[in-house]
Amino acid sequence: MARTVTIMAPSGAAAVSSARDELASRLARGRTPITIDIGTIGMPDLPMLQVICAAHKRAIDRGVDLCVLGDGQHMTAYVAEEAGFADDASCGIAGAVCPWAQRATARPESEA
Amino acid sequence: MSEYDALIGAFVEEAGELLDQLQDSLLELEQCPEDPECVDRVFRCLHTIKGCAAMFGFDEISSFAHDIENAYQDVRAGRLAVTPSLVDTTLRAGDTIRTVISDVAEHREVSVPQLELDTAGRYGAVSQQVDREAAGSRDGQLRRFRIEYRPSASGFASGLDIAPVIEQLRLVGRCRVLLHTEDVPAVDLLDPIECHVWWEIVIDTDGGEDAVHDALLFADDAHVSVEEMDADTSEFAAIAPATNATEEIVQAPLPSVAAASSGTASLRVSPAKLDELVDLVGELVTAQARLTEIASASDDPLIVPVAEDIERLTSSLRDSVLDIRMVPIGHLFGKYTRVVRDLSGQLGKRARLEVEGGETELDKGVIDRIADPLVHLVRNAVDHGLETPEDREAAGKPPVGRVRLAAYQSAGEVVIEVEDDGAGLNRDAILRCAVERGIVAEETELTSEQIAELLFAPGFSTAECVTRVSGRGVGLDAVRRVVEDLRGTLTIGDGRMGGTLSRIRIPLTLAIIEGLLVAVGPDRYIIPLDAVEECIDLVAHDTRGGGNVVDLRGKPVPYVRLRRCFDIAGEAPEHEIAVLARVLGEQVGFVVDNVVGQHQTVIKTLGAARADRVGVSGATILGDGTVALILDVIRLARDGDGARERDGGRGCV
Repeated sequence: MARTVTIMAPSGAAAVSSARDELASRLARGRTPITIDIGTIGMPDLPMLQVICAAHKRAIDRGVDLCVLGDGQHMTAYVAEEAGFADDASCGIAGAVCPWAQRATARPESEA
Repeated sequence: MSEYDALIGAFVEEAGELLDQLQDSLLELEQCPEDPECVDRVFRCLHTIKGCAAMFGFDEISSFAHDIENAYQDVRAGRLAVTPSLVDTTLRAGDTIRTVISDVAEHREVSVPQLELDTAGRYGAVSQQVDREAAGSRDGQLRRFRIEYRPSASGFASGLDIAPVIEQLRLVGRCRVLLHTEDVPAVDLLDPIECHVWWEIVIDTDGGEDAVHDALLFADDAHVSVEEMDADTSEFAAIAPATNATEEIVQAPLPSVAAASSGTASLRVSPAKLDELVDLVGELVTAQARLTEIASASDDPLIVPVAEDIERLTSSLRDSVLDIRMVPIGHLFGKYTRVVRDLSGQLGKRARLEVEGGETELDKGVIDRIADPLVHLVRNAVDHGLETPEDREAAGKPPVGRVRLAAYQSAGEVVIEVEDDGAGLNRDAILRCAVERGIVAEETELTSEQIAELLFAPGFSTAECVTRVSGRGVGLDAVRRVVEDLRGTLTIGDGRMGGTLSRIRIPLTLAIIEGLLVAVGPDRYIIPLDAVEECIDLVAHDTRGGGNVVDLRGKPVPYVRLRRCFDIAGEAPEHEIAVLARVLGEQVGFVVDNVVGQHQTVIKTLGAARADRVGVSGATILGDGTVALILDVIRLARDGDGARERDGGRGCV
């Protein structure tokens, strides 16, 4: 099994900036698969969702596997039904599989 | 404060602001009853009040607001006209909500019967006008609409949330939502506070296009478009290919990045916390003054530069903290629109309030305390300044009178003017009344300004005089006292609009001022520096006839000896100093033994025992721990050098 980096994704402006920096840094450094854990997000947070989307775009570009982990009733309803994520057509990148569409619901062991 | 109290406090504050917005919007609507944007604003306010009350668990208030909101839903649908009666009813409904919220704030039980009574008695009349059965906007046909919802780049900063929008749309019909992320850059190029996403929503509804637009009413800070699709078109079939969609987005007139980065994100802080902060800064300023004094005395090369740094930082901190307390006066001005409207209605007059300089900033503490005197002046302008529509037309004026409320900053002070375009001061009547009241002798010759000044004489405002001189003196002495307690001045005279002009000048802040520290015998006094013009050696100038007048470059300037004023024992030095200050437009000297220097003055109120001390407006603690009194230069100048006891109150100005 490939080593993975799990990044916790809390919400809040400072946390979003921090998550963005962390993801950008990880994606610049290598090709280690990245798992983003959204289980810690208490409330749906559009800026954080946008950061994840942006990370996925760079991950595709660099050939890095990136997936979203964790689930919750609020997040599922919000992301899929209200925010309108989880549609492979939305980002316009041919062949991309939206991480929301394939996100895992179990928490794997994380390692930095 | 308990968590519950904090919650209630947040609700009371937010609801109060919403009710203010509602009132402003209603008054605007009254002027423009056909303006759909005004109607929408009123509807939005009511809807938000309803939602806010429901969110905090005040279902009675929410339900009440919901009933009124329904009326405006009918207005928007064209089933109900905006009439003065509807606006009036809604204004009173807003008052009712305000009263109930006040009960909430005071932890009193919310009076549900009162609300029900009001609903039946006030809003009930509105309800009868509504023919809900005649609505007929729903044609029963299922139609499909495509909505593009494009938030501005600063959308995140203003709390963008798609959920309420979708929630409203789902009340109208079946929705499918698609997020467009084509424009989201890769993470290393992303500014996380900028919004790059937009939504496409397809809705099937039998409510018609209006219902869709209504549901999007709260889509603020976003570009929204609605277009009808062929009902047979498959969902999202209207989505352009990704590349084309991207081009469209690029061309869309979204706000610039600069606009986004200068978003209006703000933080709500309770006034009590700000007061505490100002108090702490005040203590810091006092401690810093002590440090500076110690450093000067020690002349230690290690301490002196540190003390200087602390002084500089304290000064910057003081300015920053005082700046935080500055708020635009426009919010206060907005409240007077209702005063003018209601009062003119009661008096059978027609009046319009014109506001200028609402962006002028003033310390929040000053604004709170100036509110009541301003109400008095505005009421006077409507009640006694403006004529009836008939009299105005007879005088060749428009039937609607003007009351101008203006604010502007002028050299460390804020000037607030209340002006009307009425008939102006009737000086003959004022003088006659003053003579009858024994305020001035019959043969006294007074200038135009001195006659206007009579309005502030205690006892001038009797019922008889009110009738005969258009009531110009009603409570003005009390109003002036409040203004002077704020270290301000109030004058009345002729305005540029042909009527009467009341002008208040008040300092920007009440917390910390720059002062000139002076010594008289063993005592220290502070003279507000913004009033000081120059200091002169008294013996080097001629005094006229031994009186309290100094000849300053050929010009006579009256002066006050603080030693006599405050009965300070001991002989005055041979060389005294006169600090010349500008008070009420006139130059006045304050004679002291010595000028110590400039001093950052943290204003402390005097205790009850010394609160009525004439000529003193407060106190401050000096670096050595002693107390210096802050001079009330206006009252000192007016009362003169101890003359208030000796010759009946003749002053310098």
